[in-house]
Amino acid sequence: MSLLSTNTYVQCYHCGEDCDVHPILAHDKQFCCEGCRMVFEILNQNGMCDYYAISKNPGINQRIRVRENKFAFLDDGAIQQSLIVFKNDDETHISFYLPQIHCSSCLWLLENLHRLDDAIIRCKINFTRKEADIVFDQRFTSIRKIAELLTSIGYEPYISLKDIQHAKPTIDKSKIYKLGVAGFCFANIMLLSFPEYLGIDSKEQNLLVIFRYLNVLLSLPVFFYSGSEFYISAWKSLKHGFLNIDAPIVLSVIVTFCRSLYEVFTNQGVGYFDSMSGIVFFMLVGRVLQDKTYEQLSFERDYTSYFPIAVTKLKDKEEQTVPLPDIQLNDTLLIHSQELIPADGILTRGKALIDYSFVTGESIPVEKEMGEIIYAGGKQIGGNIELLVIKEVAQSYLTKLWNREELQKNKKDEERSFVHLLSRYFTWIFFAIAISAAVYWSFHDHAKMWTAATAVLIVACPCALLLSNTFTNGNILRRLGRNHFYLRNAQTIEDIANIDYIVFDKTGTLTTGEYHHIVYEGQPLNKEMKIKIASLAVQSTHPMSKAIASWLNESNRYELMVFEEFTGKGIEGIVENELIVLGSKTFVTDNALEKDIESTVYLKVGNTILGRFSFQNNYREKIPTLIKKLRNHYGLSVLSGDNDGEKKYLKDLLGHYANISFHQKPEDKLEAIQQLQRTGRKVMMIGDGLNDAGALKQANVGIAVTENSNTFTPASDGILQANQLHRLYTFIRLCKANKRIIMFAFIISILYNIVGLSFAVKGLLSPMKAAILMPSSTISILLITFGLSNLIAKKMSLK
Amino acid sequence: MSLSRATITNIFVDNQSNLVSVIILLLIASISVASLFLAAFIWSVKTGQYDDEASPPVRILFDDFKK
Repeated sequence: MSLLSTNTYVQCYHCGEDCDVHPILAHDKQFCCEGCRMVFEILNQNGMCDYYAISKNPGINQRIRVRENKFAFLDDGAIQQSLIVFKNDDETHISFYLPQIHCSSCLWLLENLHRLDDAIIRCKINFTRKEADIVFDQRFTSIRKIAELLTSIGYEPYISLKDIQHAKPTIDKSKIYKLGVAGFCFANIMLLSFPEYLGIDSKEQNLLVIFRYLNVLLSLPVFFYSGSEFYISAWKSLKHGFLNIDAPIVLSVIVTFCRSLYEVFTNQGVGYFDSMSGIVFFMLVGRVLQDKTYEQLSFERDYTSYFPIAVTKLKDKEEQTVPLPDIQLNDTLLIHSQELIPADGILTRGKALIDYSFVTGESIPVEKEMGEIIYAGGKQIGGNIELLVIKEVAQSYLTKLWNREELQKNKKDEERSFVHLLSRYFTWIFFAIAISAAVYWSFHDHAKMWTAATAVLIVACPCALLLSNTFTNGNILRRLGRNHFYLRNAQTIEDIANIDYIVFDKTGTLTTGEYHHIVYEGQPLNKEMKIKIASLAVQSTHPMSKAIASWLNESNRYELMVFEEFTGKGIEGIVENELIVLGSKTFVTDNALEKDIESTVYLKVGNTILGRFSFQNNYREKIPTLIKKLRNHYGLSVLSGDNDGEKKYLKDLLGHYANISFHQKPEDKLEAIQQLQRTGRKVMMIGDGLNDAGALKQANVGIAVTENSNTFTPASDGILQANQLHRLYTFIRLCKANKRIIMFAFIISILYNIVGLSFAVKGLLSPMKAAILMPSSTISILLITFGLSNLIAKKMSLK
Repeated sequence: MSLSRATITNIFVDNQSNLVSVIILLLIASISVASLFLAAFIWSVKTGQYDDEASPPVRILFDDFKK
């Protein structure tokens, strides 16, 4: 027996994690597990130890080894076809998603992949998307071998059902091109308009004409290409019978363009080409800033990104790999340890220990005996099991929940914003002014009628509103992102500001979902006894048993004389001539009449019950403070899929008006949200797992909480890093401030509009005045939006 | 030796047609230079140079490995 002290913290050379009690020694370095050592050996043999020099302990923990043959499905032709990007006679291009990429060492190692396998021609990493584009020679290696190579060095490719079902979305860059063209034309038109504004010798009239016609030429791409962004959006919403903010803008741009053309061709003046292209340019900048999304995050995940691409099927005692959609009724599937169950089925062999935390939120794994039904979505954490499929993948409980009709329709994003409503009032008022100006001049000076009316329409462009909206939204999105709160799009800001009810999931959201917090009640345990219990507890793979072993924090172990595990009940063993029993109350007291208390493990030594370990969920940092702040302003609910062990604590925390429900199935959660919405509530749902997916989608705002941005989150409107959850109230306040900033900037812009109007109705809006008004209003709006939003964020002590 | 100030003024100002042609020349030059930059911008977007802003600054610091 070794007697290493636990006090000295030994870091694994590969992954930097605590090496526990028995570090593995190799090459004068210490490793936490065989996996980490193996990765080191591979790199060492190939002279690639620079990996460890670039970042400190760059590796990924390898304690859970990936089983052999996991990637056997990659030998299947159909699956290969769906993964290959390009193929010719001597090279194949493939793209893998490697969620483990996190530092510059990863980048270096993966881009030097050709040193580990000669058949790999090159490997390029996209760091933000965590993707590796690999080019290899298919005559000397295969996709499977590459996947296995990546796995052997700790970067297991993540290949899910989604990869074969959907084509990869291409990023739309057209807006950027439009912006570039608009910028180019705007700058040149400005330059060519200067002589006109600054006065030019009448002798050089020819030159002026040249400038004017050049302006017409330069404005064509702006009008026909760059502006199309707005025409398309305006047309789309008009088709749906909705007048969005782009409609008056398009009207204004068209009026400006036509009047300018008329002026140039009748030789009356220069027109307003500079103002028009400037407006289009700045509005495009605003759109691009607002739409800059977080590429590395996905807000659209459905169950297909969680499900494996293929599973092992047993046919006539032989294992074969089949793609998931090809699974049929009555197939027998072999589910390996740590694999997700893809279809509902009956357990036919092996002992199942299913972790349903993914689906139900229940944090304790469920043990299933042969003959019991296992639902899809659970993760097998025991040994291998065999399963008889009773429902196809598309018919499974989990999948069906996902395909519910009400979740299929997307929220109509753009039609909800108050900006569109405001722009409509704005437009009607200006129309009225334009008509009255036209009527007035038709009586007094007929010649001025058209100039006045068109000038009003030029000024009437609600571009200032659009600018203040897009720039503020863009800035707030970036501010929130810097604080690890990522929103799907700008509309979500407004939705967050409008909510009046917040629903929390418990496990994984309010709590960390791990058992760190164990309370022992009973006779005190001495060191000797602790070692004995730890020696027993460490033998079982049950998470509760493991948690007790680590909670006892003893490094010494005794040999066990006898050890036996009773599935679903407990464990017993003889340690140093003493019988120790750990398990549920009925099991330990041996009295079937006793009622089991959930999340509690009893301890018996010899014939006396010494005490019990109760497991408490570990609440996230500062959650009570957050709840106290929120409950003054919002209705609160907790919907938990877990047992009601902590009802009392939650009741105290949320106040007595809060609605706390336990044993909530995914569809219960969804219905609870619908119920709230029927009573007119605007609901924000905060959850983390697949079990919340329906509720997240149904809610007005669904926020997914994640431990780090690598882990998968269900489809949602926003992704919040778990350690920032306590700042939720601050984030909501910032979203509320967003609307006030937009309104303020808008009022300022109306002042400019009044000045412009006063010229316009008199028929005196010269191109030069327009050219001064336009940039000055734009710049002051930019200053206001950026200044105010940054100031407010700073006041809220956000980064 | 060098052109007198008067001669320079003569070339650019006194002669009307000269002034126009010089300005047109300059216009063509300036717009074509600007178009070059526009083309460069579109090319850089198209080839994905803004797709991944994290790895290129790191990648450039790595030593090349000779096979």
